Amino acid sequence: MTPTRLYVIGALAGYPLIKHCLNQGYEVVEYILGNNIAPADEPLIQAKLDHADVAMTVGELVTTVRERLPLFATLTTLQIREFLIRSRLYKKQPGDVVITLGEYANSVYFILDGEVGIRTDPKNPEELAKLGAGKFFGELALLSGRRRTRTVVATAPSLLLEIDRNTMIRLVRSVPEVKQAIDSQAVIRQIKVGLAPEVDDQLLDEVVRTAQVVEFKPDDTLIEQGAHDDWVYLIRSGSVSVSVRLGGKDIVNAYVPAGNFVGEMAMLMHAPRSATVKAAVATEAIRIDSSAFRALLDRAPRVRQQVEKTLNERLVEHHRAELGIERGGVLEFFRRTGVVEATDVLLIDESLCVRCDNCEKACAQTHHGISRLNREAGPTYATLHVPTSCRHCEDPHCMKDCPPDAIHRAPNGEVFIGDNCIGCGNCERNCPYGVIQMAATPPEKPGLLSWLLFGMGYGPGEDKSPEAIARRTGSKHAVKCDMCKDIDGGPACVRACPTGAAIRVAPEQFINVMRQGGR
Amino acid sequence: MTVTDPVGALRGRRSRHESFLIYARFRYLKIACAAAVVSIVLYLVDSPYPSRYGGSWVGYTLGSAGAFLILWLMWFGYRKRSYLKNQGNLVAWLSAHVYLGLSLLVIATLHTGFHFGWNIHTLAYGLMCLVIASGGFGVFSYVRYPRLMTGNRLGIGMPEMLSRIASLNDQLRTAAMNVDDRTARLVERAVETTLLGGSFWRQLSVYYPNCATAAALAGISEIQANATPELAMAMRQVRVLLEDQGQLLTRARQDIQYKAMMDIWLYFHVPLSFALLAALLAHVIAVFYLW
Repeated sequence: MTPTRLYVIGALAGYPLIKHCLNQGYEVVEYILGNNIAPADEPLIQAKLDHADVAMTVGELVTTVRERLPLFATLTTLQIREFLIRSRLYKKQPGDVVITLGEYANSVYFILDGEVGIRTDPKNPEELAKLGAGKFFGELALLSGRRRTRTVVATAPSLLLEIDRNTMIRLVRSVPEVKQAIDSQAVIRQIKVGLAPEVDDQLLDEVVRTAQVVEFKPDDTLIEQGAHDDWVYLIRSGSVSVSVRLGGKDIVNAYVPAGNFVGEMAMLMHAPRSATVKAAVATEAIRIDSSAFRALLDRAPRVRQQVEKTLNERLVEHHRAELGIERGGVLEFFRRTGVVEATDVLLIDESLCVRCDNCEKACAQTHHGISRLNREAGPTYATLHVPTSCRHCEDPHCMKDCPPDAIHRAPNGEVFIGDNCIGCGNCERNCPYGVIQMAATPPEKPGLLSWLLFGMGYGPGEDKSPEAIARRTGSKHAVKCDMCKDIDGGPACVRACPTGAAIRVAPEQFINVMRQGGR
Repeated sequence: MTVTDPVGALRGRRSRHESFLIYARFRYLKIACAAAVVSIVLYLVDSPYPSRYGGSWVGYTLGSAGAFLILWLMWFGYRKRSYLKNQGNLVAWLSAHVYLGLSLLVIATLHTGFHFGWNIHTLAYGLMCLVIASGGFGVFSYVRYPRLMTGNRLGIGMPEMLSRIASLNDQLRTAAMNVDDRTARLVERAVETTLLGGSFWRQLSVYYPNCATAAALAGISEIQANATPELAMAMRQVRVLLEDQGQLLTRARQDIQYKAMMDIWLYFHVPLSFALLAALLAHVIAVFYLW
């Protein structure tokens, strides 16, 4: 009798079963037959090497990754190949800019060979902190919705490996050691950026050693008014609200987005907490021990100056709250309607909006005849209206389950859907704000003058006539606001508003909107 | 509190709503005032024989300026609809359109030298005044009605109002099954024939003398007074629903009125400006070829 063999293939063996768009059956059969066959992903990775003009085989690349990058030393060949498929290789010459300050972070870079310099002072491009082979940078990408906090340039001929955010997150989830290593590095860099840009690493040592990353759910309390605890928090992702209890009522007087610190007032004034700080959305904060922080301030006068400046501004805000200048209503509205999740949100002042729908027309005209914005729908507080339009969430719900990985975040923060959308509708279902729609592209329209002078075709805007809708029979794909990233002059909706009612606002500007208080 | 912006995320962004009237600290109001002052000075400086008129060098200057201004102001209609080109914000254009349009009143009036008569020249001037007047009403309605509209809506938009009206209609139909035939007929008529919107005049006046819902309410009050206690009970539910419907209708009609007020002036402003364009052309041709 011939012996029976049982082959365990793919996921059961501990590896992802399906590689997107790869025919793996051939590889499986040939492997079982005992033929020495290159894995199905081999040509893909080789193409990346060829594209970057790197004279290496895939096997050599895997070995290099394992040898040069200590972070990945423990990974199996299959795991390394898995993320290599989704990564990119770059050869950089001295002086080449790798990442730019202010761009949205989307990927992490690893240095396989060479050296890069991080510009520590934006005003002085010559001041560089060097990083050599084996190191990584851009780890802020793991917190979505954050911008690059430094510009990085190559300082020697370098070979860099770029891994996009989603792949990195998958990797970090399956290998906890990688997460730990990246997290602790991120904490050091964030403290430097948020608190003490020009301070030596040595001075920060104590602060970093006592620092801890703490996670908060929406509405969790970071700081309780009147308490005597002794922490300073640096908000890493998410945002918090600051409220003062006056006459038995909580009056919200500030909204602090990520990248800022809270809790320094009590620490500097040696007083009990003067305000309550609560997470507005799911928030991650770095908790720093006050004594370490105070020691830092004693040794670094420039940091002290900066912190005291912020402190003075906060005292003014505090005073305003005591005068009863309420802006909690708008913040509560922002929280209830999810605006606090936004990185860029369209707000309409209804006391200026004449309901002409020129914003919608502009959107449709600039986006293949389909408006990605519904002016009328959406919640309103006083005269502040949040139309149904993408707010480009800090941590986009739509990106969480996109089978072809078609949803991306552009360097300027726009969350957009690429051409490889397969029309599955996952993003439409996952968006809590209903801003994604499945649509077929409507037929071309004649030019504006043909319509103006000869009445040809449907006028500007989306053709909502029943005939037009019936004609849209083509295959549907997901469409949403892309913040007009490819159009000169910025978002068409804002540009086309005749009365100044429409503006786009980033979280850093919420406080201004609150001051207006939805007049 | 000033939020730190270490990565320059806020470069060149507006974070406050700014109306077209106050745009850029009244930049275009200032320009318009300057244009008006310059025109007045020019007018006063020059004193041709026998009196100041459109044919003097100041007259021609003011006339040409006015004619170009009219052409440029009318270009707004095209600019408003050209979405792809980056020509700045439309709010800046509207601000300039409003203030420079008003300054035209001074420029063109001085151009006439206050000579009026029953001719094509005064027709063009008259049309221009009508265009500016209709535009003036437009500005007034844009300032007044948006806020009233929001106040009237109480947080629900027109689509939601319409779906609530439809759902009240369904509830009314169901409730009408338990009442007498006369009441049921009144309800049926209210559901079938109540008018929302209608002609432009109706929309603007909010005058609905034969509102079937109001008629049903009145009719039901009468029937209810003479009804048996059981029937009166059943009718109460219908009544409550009709009253809700009536309030909702009032609010929806009010909303439609505000929208109509913001739209109506354009139906005069645009055709009149084309009439003005034609009259202006005739005026220019008449002056240069036939005089």
